Amino acid sequence: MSEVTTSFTIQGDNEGYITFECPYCNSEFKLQAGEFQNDDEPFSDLFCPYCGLSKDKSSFYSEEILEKAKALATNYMIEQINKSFGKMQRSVNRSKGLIKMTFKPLEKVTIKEFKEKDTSEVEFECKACNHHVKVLYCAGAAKIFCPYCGVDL
Amino acid sequence: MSILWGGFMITYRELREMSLVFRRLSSNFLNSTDDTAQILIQRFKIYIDTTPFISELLRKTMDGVEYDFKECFASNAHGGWSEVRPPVDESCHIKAMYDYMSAIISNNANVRGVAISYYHSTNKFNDRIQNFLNNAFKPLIDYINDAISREMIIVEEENKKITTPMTQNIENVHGTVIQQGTGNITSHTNIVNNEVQAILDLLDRILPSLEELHNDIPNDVLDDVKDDLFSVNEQLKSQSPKKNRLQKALAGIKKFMSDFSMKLAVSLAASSVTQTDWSVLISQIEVFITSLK
Repeated sequence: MSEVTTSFTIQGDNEGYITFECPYCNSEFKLQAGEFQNDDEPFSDLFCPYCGLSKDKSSFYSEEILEKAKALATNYMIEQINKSFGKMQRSVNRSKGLIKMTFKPLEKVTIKEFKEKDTSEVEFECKACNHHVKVLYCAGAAKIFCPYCGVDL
Repeated sequence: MSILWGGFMITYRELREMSLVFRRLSSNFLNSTDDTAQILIQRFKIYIDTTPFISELLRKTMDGVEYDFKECFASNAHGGWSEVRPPVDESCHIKAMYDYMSAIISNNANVRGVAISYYHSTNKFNDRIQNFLNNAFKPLIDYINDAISREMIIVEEENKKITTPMTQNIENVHGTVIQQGTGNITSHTNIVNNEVQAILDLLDRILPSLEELHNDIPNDVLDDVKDDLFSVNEQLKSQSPKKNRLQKALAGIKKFMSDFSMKLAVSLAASSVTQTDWSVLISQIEVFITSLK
């Protein structure tokens, strides 16, 4: 079975931040796209800035990102099926025998384009690793942790 | 700044370090796989039992609470499946989770075996183990995590109250100047020196232990992490440690840990160095970096 790679872009907010979602507490936070994709500083795990627990970074993709990825994969699959059945239909009908084939191509699913909204999160910079995060923060009510190195901010 | 907690003193720095190590251990525990669950549940239990702040917190919470964990973790409850039925009272729930974990470990029960007695739609062992650990023990982790964070906020607030701003113009100073508004003076130099020594001691233990990993981890990877560890050692002994070099070395050590944590968990099980030592090393370096300007 062959492997197909599809890529897509997400437009960040005005400051280049993209929304992520914690797999443990489902809270949302924002990271700078440039820092998240920086090949010079690779990392495999992220910490949730709210609950502080860590997991591999792919687990933090938001529901919207996952839905878009699934929609793209579904459309690719539909395209391949339509192509195969179209080919089969042409081949069967060309022989002019007793058997005729008709098929109704599957319709592709709609892919929503989404853009990050500018929301009222507070921006923090980690003193240990200099990375940035935007979170909903209420001073004195909770601790915020750096998503990259995990120390409290 | 340190405060008295349950009969012992705890500093903000110790709380930060404990928070980071606990969160790393908890995350590893919640993400256990079939290969690692047995080791990680024991490692988690040992950590909460041997860390004074956490063991005291749990002792206080569970003190005088009479509750049988089998009521919360009922076996053969629902068509033959086991079921988690959390009690309303939080102290009872904490006791149930703690006792259930103790029972799994002391009976030498297989975590996979326990996990598959609970219903889950998937047949993948790893998913079922992680789902079980999440349902059974995540509230205990949240409880401890919240308590550490609360304590950090309290100590932070106390710090702010004590540190009264004072302006003084000093000319031609030879030696150390210590000044204060009110309250006690804490000499930062001593704390940093203690931290440095703790990291150096850990490095002295971890570096020789890398020789035992040659069968499990490629030599070039081991050489890279050795370079990073030596770099940390060199910077800590330097008069003016370079933040950038420490950050770069730390990134390398963290990458090594994340890439080979499972192999480390198995290889280090028989060694005097544990995965917790690596986690403590990373958190201590991180805390040290934050103290650099």
